[in-house]
Amino acid sequence: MQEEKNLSELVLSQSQPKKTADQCSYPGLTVIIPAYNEANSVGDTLHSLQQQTCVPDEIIVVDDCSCDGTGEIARSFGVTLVRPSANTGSKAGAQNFALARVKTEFVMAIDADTTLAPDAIEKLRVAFDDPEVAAACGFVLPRYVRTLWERGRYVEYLFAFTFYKQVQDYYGKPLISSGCFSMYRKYMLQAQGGWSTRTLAEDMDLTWSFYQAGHKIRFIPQAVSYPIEPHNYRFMSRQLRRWSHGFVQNVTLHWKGLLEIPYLRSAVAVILWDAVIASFVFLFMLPLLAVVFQNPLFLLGYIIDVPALLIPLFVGGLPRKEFGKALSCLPAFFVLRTVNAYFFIEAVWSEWVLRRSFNVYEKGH
Amino acid sequence: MNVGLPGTGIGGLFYLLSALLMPIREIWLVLSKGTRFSHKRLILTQCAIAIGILAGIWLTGWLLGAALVSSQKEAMLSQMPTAGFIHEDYPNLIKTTFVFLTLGLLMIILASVQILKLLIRHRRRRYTDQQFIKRSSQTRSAISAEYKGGPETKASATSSR
Repeated sequence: MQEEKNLSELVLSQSQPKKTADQCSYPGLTVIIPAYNEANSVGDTLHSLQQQTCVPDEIIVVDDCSCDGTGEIARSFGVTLVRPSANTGSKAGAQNFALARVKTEFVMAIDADTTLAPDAIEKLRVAFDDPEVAAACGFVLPRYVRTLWERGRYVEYLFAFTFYKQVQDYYGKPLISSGCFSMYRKYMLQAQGGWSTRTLAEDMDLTWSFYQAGHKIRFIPQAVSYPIEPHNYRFMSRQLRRWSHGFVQNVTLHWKGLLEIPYLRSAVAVILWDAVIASFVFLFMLPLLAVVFQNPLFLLGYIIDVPALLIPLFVGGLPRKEFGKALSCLPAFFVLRTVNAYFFIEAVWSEWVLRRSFNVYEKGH
Repeated sequence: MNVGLPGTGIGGLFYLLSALLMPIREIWLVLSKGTRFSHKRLILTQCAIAIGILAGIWLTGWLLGAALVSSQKEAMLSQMPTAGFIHEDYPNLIKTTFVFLTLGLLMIILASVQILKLLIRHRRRRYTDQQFIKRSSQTRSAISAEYKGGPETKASATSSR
């Protein structure tokens, strides 16, 4: 259950999206956009929402006490703008702040740095034809692919969303309904108390809670979103620390309940094992073997799975005419993967061995 | 988000097997539950990806084997320049042993999850039974305490006459 905060709400503006003749309306959908100092990106997000083939009933921007004019930019788009009297402390807190105002059957959460393909909402709504579906998420690709970190993230997403996530969806168990772009059935979301702040990965917490409540989650690859990914090491490290700790916190919280969920229990166990062992191998074993045996060939272990990685990249990149781009980004992926390994080991050590939980929510850009 | 995105470790093998089992599962659902054969395109695509990955892994092993043999051959030739024709047989470095070891490890992890699930269920059942027994005995105590007032009072009244 969400901790209740005595935050007075300031509704700064309220209106509904204007529709053109080509757009259909999606009655029963409210979009929530939590925003803290997102002046550089919230405009693009709102523009992409207003250009959707299916326009939502209402768009609520939660200006979480920004100091860069985020609220003013949002207001200029004619959306509903709410502003708590104090910073809520996290994305989940900001989203919950708006949830109380939602009157529609469905609610969508989208990050203030995320734009959508023009038909993303139209494609995602199909998932809710099944009354047991509580949440649906779409394909995610970085909006900008320029720096080393963005390139690595691009390969990571293209691989995972082309292969892993689609397999998970076939077995009815997408691991996470991504926080940057997901749609929910409101009453099921409210039954869970909204987005919880008890872990740093509220999207994973909510997804696993839905499963334990007997609900379904869907992944719709045709619904595409484009968030801004961390562009330098400083922001990337914050995001990786948050995600790694969030994953470990969620395993700690949900492990007993997950044991009753077929396929998901196996997927999480395997991911956990692989992440710990692979991280250990990447960070310690490979360099040690190369030094002890004085043979640099051991370092091939960092890139030995290149052919295996290329296949999903080819399948995912070719329809988008981006296979060449994916190929050129491949070296960056190996760097990101090794850095990811460090943060995961650090999260396991901190949360499980030292019993020191990390609870500071830091933005990733 | 994908924490610890694996390459071809246990996680990769898990998803490879999951993808290869998709058509079998679909056929089983059609035969046992009478459902329609849906998700054809998804199943074909994911199976093709899995087979492609397996071929890629095999090719990697073969290329590494070829590179190793070539480097050994060069070393031999440099030491014995008058050596005759050397038959080249490129071994695949992806040995069957490694594959079965990795598969075995995956099976152990999955089996451990099942065992843990049964253990937790057993503990829950025992806890529930203990709670039930505790509540039953509390209820019995409450009933007998309430009943003590009735028959004993009647008996003492009878005996006083």
